[in-house]
Amino acid sequence: MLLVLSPAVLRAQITVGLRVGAVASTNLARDSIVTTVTARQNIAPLVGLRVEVPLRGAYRLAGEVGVSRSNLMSRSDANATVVTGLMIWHPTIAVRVPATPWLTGEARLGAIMYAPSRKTGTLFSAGAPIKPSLGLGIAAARPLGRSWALALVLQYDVHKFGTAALRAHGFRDQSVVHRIALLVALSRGAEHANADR
Amino acid sequence: MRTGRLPPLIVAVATAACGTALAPDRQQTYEFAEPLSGLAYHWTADELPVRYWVAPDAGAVRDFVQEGLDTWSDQFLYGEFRGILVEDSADADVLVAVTPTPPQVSSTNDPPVVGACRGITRYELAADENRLAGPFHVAIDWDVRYPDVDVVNCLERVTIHEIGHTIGLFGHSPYEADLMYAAPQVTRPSDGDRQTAEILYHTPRTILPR
Repeated sequence: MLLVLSPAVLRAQITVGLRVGAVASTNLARDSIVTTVTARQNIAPLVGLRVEVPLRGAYRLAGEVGVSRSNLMSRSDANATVVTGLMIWHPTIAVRVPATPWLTGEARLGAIMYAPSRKTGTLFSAGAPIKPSLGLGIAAARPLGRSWALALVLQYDVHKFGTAALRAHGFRDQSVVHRIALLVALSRGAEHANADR
Repeated sequence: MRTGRLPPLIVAVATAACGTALAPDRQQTYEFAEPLSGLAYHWTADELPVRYWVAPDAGAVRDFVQEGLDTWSDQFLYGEFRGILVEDSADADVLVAVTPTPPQVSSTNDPPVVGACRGITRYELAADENRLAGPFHVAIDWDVRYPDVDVVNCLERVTIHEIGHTIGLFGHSPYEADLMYAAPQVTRPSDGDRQTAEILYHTPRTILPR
């Protein structure tokens, strides 16, 4: 249904936004070497760009790219070691629907792309994975004038993680990684103008 | 404003698998501690990178030391060990010397293993406690009666083996397939070498640093 919209109509209904916040993640790997050893990314600042277009009825389709960066830490007992700086790109497509005039929910489908900054240890030595992700999000929005809106956004996503190096070391299966992000989103577009009327 | 229902993707998220990857057993290990005293040592994160100095007349052994550092650091998933070459022996944690000056053969081949060289790694402890009193010393010598290529092949194996001692693998493996076998037959750590090094680096050390 998106294709039947003319470019002029589409332009008039596009919402664009910037979002900033922080994302926390569960362990990428959990190992047992004498004691428990975990590899987990520190809470990371996150920046995202988002574009939304109307889809059908109350639904809207969003394309979003988020990027976060922090250190991947290895922890065992009292020791914590920086394994590498780790950037994560997260392109996502989301379908959003309003639940109330100020609260929306969305389902998210995307890809998690790991980009380690340097090689320390062999966790990413045989390549950094790109993994599909599924997620959910809710946003509480407040209009700012005729065409702007400010929202508080909570996002959750889940993906599987494994690397060739982990498999080479004898790991079986993949870890399931959960991420949760809290964001402030500023957006501008026709949707907010329509909501004001 | 109209409202609606979230699409069925929610169901997919809600039923996404949970769990963690199964970690390896690491059962192919051998004794890493000093055989007589039972003392163990490894470098800690705040001591990395470990600094290696190689004597200027060591020839190809300098390359083999670098190869050894790369090889051993590649055994660790989480960056537990890392070493670098330094130019000043006063700054070094490990000193490497070779006698006599090695032959000028830049490449190795794949010959039968010949014991054309040998190496020894030493460290000194303070008189009154189990604390390192100085840097590790690696001394490598070779036998001039052997062809150059055999000597260089041997120097590669033995140098990487001795680097294994300097990371803390003080013991020898009883298995020929392991690089830390007393008379090394291979140039790369085996799964047993890797697993032993991993266990060592997550075991409390009983020798204190300098």
